[in-house]
Amino acid sequence: MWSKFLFLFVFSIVNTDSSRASLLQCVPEELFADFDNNECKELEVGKSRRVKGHQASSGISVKDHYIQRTEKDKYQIFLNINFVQGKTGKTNSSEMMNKVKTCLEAATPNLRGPNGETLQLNALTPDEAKSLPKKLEPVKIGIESGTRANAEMYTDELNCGEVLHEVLHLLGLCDEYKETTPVNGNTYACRVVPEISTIMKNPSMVYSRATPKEIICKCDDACKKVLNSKNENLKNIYLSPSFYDLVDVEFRSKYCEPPKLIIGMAEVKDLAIGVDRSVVLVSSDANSFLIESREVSPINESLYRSNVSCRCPEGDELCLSSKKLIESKLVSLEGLRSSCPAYLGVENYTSKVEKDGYRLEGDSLIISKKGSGENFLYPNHWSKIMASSCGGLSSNYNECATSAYKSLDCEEMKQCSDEYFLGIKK
Amino acid sequence: MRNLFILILATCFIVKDASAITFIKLRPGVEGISKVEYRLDKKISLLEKNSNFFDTKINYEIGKFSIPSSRTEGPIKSLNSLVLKVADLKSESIIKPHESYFVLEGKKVGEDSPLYKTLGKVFNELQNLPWKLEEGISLSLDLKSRTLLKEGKVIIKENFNKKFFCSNSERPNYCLDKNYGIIYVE
Repeated sequence: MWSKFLFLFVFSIVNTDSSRASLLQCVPEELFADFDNNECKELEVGKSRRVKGHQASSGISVKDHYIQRTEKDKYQIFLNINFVQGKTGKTNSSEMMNKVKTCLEAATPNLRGPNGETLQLNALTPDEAKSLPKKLEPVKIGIESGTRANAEMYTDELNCGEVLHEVLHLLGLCDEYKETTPVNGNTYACRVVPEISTIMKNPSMVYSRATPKEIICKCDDACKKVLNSKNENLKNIYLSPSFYDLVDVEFRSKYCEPPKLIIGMAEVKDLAIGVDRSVVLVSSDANSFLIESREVSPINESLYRSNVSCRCPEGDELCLSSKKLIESKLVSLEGLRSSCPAYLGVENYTSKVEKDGYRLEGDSLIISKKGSGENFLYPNHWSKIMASSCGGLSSNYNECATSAYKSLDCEEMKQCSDEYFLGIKK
Repeated sequence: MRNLFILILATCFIVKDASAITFIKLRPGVEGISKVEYRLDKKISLLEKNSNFFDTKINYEIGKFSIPSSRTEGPIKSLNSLVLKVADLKSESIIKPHESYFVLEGKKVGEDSPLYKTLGKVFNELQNLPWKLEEGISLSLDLKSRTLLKEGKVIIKENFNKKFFCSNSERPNYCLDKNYGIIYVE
C-alpha cells in the first residue's frame, strides 16, 4: 500500500513539465509543446534543434550540438570543437581542425538517411561557433602524437575513417567492433557486434573503401617501365588490388601464415588463372583457403609469386564470416589497388574523382578511386543521431547498444541481429 | 590442535593474499584491448603486457616480464594504501569509448575518479623500472627483425615481415602478433 503511494507520489513529481524538460534534454525549448510520450518529434524544415550534452544509455557521452534541417532532405550538424595541444602532439590545433573538416566534408555524400536525406557534419572552431544562435559548449579535444585516439583525445596520425568514427561517438553512436583480447572480464564482451562492416566497426577500411580519393605513389624508373609496358596483363597485375588490400592485418596476422615464396620467377604467359590479377584464390575448403599473391619485378617484366594459406579455427564464426567475404571479393575482383604498388605513398581524400583510373605525373603514380559510395549510416544510426536520447525513435539501437561497454552479467541480446540493431533491410 | 593448525594455515593464505596485488591498466581500441597487468608479490613481481600502448619511451617489447620484488616495494606500499580507498569509492567509473582506465584488485577506476591521477603516478613508477622480458617478442626499432624469447632466452631471431604483420604496410601504425598482442610503432 505504502509502496504504491510512494510510486504515485514519485510519478507525479517526475511527470511535471519542468522535470520532463530536465530529464529529456535533447528536446529544444520551443518544441516542448510537441513533445509526447518520450519521443522527439521530427524536426521541421527550416528549424534547428539544440542537443545538450548527456549520457546515452550505452555510456557514451553525447556532446552539445545543433541539428539544422535546411531543406526537406538536407540536414546539418554543428559541433564546436576546441583542439588543445597535448604534451607530445606534433600537429597544431589549426592543422588538426583542417584535417577534421576535410575528412567530414569528404564523408558528406556517404552520410545519408534511410529515405535519401543527406547529412553534413560541420566541425566549428570556438570562434566560428559564436555565430550560432546560442553558444555551444565546446568539446575540448586533446591532440597527442602516436596512434592512440579516443573521442576526446585525437592523435596526429588519425586517418579520416578514425576521425569520422570519433565524431560519431560525440553524437552518440557506440563502438561496434569485437574486443579481441579477454582480460579479467574487462573485454566489453557483452557488446553487440554486427556481421557487416560499419564505420563504428571497421572505420579505416569502410571510409577508405567508400569515399573518393587519390593515392599518390612515388614512381621511379622501374615503376614507369611497367606502366609504359605493352604487356597489358603485367600492367594490370601491377595496378590491381593486392593481397594486402583484400585481407586486413587483423585477419592475416591471426589466421594466415606469412607468404611463402614460390621458387622460380614466372612470366605472365605462364599463369594458369587470373592472368591480369595480383591475387587469386587457388583452393578453398570449409575452414581454410590458399591464395597466390603476385608482385611485378620491373627489371625483366616477370613475377614473384608467393602462397598465403589461411585457416579459421573450428567454430570461430567471426573468422569464417570474414573468410567468406574475402573469398567472394577474390572471385569478383576488379578495379584498381588501394595502396601503392611498391613505394611510399599518401592518400588524399577529394570529392573531385569522377571515375577510377590512374595517371603518371612526373615521378608520381596517381591512382584515383571514386569509392563505392556506400552509406556510412544504417537506418538506426540515423535515428540515433536524429533522435538522440529521445527514446522511441532509436529504441532498437539503444536496446542493443546498452551493453556496448559492459563486460560482465551480459543480458541476452539474441534479438540484436543486424536487421534489428541497425535497421538493415534484408 | 587441529583447529589451531587450520587457523595458522588460513592466516598464511590471508597474509600472502594481502601482499600480492594485481594492478591493471586497460584501454579498449579498434585494434583490440591494450592491457598492462602488474602482479606484485613478496618474492617476485610480474608484468604482463599485450601492448606497448602505455609506454612513455619507444619500446617494441610485449609479453611477460619480471623483476625482483625488492624493486617494487615502494609501489606495493602505495598500492596497498590505495586498495581501501578504491574499495570505498561510492560507484565504479563509467568508461568512455577508447578511454584508458585502471583496475585495482578488481575495481575499475576511470578518468572521472579522483584516484585516477594517483594511480597513474604509481603506474608510471612501475613502468620506469627495468623489467626483464621472460617470454614474448621484441621488434627492432627499424622493424627489420623480430626476436622470440622464452624463459628469458632468445629462441628465434628472424627477419620481420612488416608488410604482413603491420597495418598500412607503407607507413605502419601498429603491428600484430597473434600470441602476444599489439605493438604500436612511431
